[in-house]
Amino acid sequence: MTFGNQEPILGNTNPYGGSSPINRLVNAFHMLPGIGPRSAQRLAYHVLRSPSSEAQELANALLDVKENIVLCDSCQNLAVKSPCSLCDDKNRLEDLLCVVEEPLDVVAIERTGDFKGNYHVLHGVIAPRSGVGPEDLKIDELMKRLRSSDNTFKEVIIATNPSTEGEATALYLAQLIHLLDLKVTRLARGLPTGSDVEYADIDTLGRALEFRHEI
Amino acid sequence: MSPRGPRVYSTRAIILGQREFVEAAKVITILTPDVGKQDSVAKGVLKPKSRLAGHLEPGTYCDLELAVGKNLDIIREAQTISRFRASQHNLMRLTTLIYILELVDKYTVDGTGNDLFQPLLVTLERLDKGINLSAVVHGFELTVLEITGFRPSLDQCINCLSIVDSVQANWSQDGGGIVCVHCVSLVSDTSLIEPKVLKVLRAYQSWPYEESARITIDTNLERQLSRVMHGLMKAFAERDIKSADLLEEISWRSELPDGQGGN
Repeated sequence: MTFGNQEPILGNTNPYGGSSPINRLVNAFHMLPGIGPRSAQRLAYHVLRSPSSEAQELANALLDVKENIVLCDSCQNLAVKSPCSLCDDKNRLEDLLCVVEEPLDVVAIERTGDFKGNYHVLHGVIAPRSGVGPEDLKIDELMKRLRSSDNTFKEVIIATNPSTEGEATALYLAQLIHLLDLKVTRLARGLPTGSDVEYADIDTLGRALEFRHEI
Repeated sequence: MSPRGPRVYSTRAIILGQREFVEAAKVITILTPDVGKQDSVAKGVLKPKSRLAGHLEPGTYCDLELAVGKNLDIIREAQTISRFRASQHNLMRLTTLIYILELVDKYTVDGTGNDLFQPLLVTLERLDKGINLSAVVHGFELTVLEITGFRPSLDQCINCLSIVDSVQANWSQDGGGIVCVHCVSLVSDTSLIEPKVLKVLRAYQSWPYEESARITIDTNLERQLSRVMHGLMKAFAERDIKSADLLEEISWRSELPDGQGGN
């Protein structure tokens, strides 16, 4: 495929190489997590067909987020100012802290509307295979927060993912936090809404049975 | 798989690890008894209703059905045989499990390591039972070294091949074994090795597990065994094994009196 006299775009020899603007854009989208080459191509062509104002808005939003977003000193979440609006909210429960892997987990938990406590974002999990150890996460910041004299937390909920690495991180944190005589809890595990018992793995089903509740 | 082979095949596998791929897919690294280590693709596993996700967590022993793909084979079905659940609830055992999987990953390349399948499976079962972790872990480390051709020399001097008494032995991490008193000046970077440590390692290397698991190991001895074996595993792998450091940190902290183990 060519545009006028430009070099071939997405040719067979070097599908995402080259320095043409569209190849650069495809490459840029392809670098994003979860975006494969086909999706990157679709997004790039969508931008190409959109009005200039939309492309400008996208570019501005990308630059804006890099220039104006900071880490909240307290919860380590992404925010426009520090402390963030969640940490600044005096109506939130001061004795409850929820530890999550990523900023998006805060969004997911907030969407439930069921949690009114505070958060702490680790920015990852202990994943030795990927070269991530405890020192690469915001664990020191968490422990400093829990040890500080104005700490009012009575319970820490560990909401890391129910994966092998998430579980290892949860156990690691629990070992540290227990030393401070705080209650440590873990999110319950069970079957997701709309799933099939038939296809559930034995670990999930086992835990769902273990933590069954009376109705 | 040969291009003329069947387009779909079944295999038993142990999940070594996973990494994110495109869309909601992940690349799952598996160890199978026939092919050894291989990467395969599991589609849609990031979606909450995925039927595959729960069966493909690292450390799971499972039955897989795969379709031959152009580059990577695609996991179509997965059924857990064992998740080694007891290991999932204990920090030390879970970290050990992660360490064992990392060892297999670091000591194999794609298409090799099928002879590590059975030792790995047996080790995961023993780890799940939690009896004498020292014999389980260090026995497995020595098995990995043996199978991959790096068997450490624990009886003979690596330089002159003479039989060395455990009381007089020196240790060469890079040489992969002991050095006698006469050769110690000829081999660089040697250090003294505690006779007790060497005796236990010899037992782990040559005795069956049932016997070596009866050896009583105190905390101090285990710390020394770990230091020697972790150093050896990193030296032969020629790269860092991150979970070894984590394992040492966790055991160090669990030995501290209450209140001193924080970061």
